[in-house]
Amino acid sequence: MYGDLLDSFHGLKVIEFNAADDWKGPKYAYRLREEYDDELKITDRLDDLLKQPGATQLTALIIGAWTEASGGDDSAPLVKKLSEVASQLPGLRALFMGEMTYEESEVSWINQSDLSPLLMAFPRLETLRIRGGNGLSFSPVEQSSLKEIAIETGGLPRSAIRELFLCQFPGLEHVELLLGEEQYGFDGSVEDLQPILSGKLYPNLKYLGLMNSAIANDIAAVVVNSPIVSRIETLDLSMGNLDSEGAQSLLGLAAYPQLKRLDISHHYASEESVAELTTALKCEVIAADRQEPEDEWRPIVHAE
Amino acid sequence: MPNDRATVPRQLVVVGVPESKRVRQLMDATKPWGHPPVMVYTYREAMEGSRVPPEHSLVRFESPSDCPETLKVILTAGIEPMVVDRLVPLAKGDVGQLEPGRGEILHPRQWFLGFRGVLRSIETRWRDLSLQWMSNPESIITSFDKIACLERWERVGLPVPPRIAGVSTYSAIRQHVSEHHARLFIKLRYGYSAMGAVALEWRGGLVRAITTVEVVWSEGRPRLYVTKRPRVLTREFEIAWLIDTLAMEEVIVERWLPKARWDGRPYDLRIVMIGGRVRHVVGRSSSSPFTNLNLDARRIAREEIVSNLGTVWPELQSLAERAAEQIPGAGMLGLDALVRPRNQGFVLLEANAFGDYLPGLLHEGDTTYAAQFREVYGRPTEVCS
Repeated sequence: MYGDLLDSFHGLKVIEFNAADDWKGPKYAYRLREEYDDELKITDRLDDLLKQPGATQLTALIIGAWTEASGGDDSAPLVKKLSEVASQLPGLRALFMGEMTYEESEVSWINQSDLSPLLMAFPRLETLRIRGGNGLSFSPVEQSSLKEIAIETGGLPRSAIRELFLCQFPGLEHVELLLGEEQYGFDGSVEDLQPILSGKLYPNLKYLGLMNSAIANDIAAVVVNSPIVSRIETLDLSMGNLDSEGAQSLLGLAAYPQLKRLDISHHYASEESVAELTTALKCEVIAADRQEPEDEWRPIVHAE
Repeated sequence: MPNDRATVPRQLVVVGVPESKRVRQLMDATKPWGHPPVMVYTYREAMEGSRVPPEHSLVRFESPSDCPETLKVILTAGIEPMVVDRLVPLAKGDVGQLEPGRGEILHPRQWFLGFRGVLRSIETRWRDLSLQWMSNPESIITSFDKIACLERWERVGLPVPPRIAGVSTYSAIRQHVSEHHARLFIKLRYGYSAMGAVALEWRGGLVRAITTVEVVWSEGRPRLYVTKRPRVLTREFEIAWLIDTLAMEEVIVERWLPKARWDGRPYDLRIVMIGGRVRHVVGRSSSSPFTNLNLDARRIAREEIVSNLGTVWPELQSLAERAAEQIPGAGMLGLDALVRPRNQGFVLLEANAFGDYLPGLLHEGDTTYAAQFREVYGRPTEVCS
């Protein structure tokens, strides 16, 4: 679960913005968030932020907890608001939609919406992070500046995965999909990942994260034979429930000399199978945070 | 407190757990005053009268801590008042059989009634000895009853979280709350150190509870413990069972109010009142709703708090002073207060009679214990041998 809010985002220190007093100039990332029952809304804070001297030069913005995120409402009104003020934020390069800790909202309680309007409104956006998979969707959009997309969920619906892959993001270099588990909305399978694994999308992809997955072994078995693996630098299968069987599958990665890093942190593989993997692969293998299975149950990191 | 040396009691009598860290640190803190004689009595010795302080002694009660022997003395003393209150106590034989685990929640109501009885019987027994209490027994009893403190503060108009009174089951609480989205905080009336705390939240048909309670079943019986890593429950029957189980020991149901944040984490304040004045202040920030330092919350220094609160700091000071006035006879009191988001006011949460166990925390060069001895003994240099 997400315990802490980010200290930095897009390489900038994060400041929570509530009022003009908090403004420290455009060289910071600002977080706009509401408390439970807050009378001052994120939209009020945003209006105020935009009035600050130099606000047009802002490069990074975080939309944190919106009161109604836990009250049932989705991110649509915020998407609309941000789209409306996009012309006042011409420098925006990085946006985080829905950064919330578990204390603010369970990940599975965050209701997202169609986020493509943001990508249309900010054609120069390079980084988009999203937390929460409920209601998440992407209407078809083409945006060539986007380099990094991360979707953090306890359960990413298959529909959102499909729609994402139907969008045109030719510039993508970094993809993190925290797939989650069935109980919290992951209703897909490895098949649904084929568009990205086949290598047809994202010619510049360097970082492939298929993380926080309850089907990590299945992913490992398929990913080693996927065309995409011959092009990427980092394969991130962390936070999931990979065990020795998955680690065995990953021995096949030895065939890809360009691969620089494999991350399987938070795993259930035996020490022997991790050692075998580390010996077999020339790349860096990160296998921190080994878990002891609780009987047959192997929890992933974010499932709530 | 006047420092008239002729009346300064020199003999210090500590009632507590002799081998505990608290008592050791308390004794260490007397060193600058040239090691005044200290006697440490157990609660049993004090209550049964096997040891009696010299006249004019200064008496300090210390926390019964998690000493199993002391626990049994207190629970045994709680049997009779439980019966008087028409409650079913844990019988004497069963008290004797208890093997308390670390952090185990054991009969908090019987414990409170027993502790109250122990303190009152010591007070009665020692009535004619012209003792000086660092905190008198009644003030300690009041602090251990969370509702009593909140009611006293409410009566004089001090801000406390809104409470739902008179509900004692999960379903009663559920029926009482009509909002689509509601956040409640439930804690044991007689708990301490984050014991039995639940942060409960409903959103429409969804529910979740974050809790410090860990339930372990052994021999067909649940045992409840305080866990350092709060757990999240999302199954309603499990949440209902937990709350109903805690409610058998009486709970406080109050609004879970938003707190101001420090580096992105909610925080609140522990304010150590000595002689009615604000002394040590420590902010406690946590990623969970529970900011107790024993649950590994991060400390924030007093200077940082004061500077952050800026113009509203005096408001907090006067609130704390007024809160302490409502618990007269407490030479020391650990008050917990919440800072509203954007520093828009304060809310009193609870008082802690033994809320001064804050190792290493200094104010004007003194630990919490040293500051209390300075209050009663005066400056160390004034006491010459």
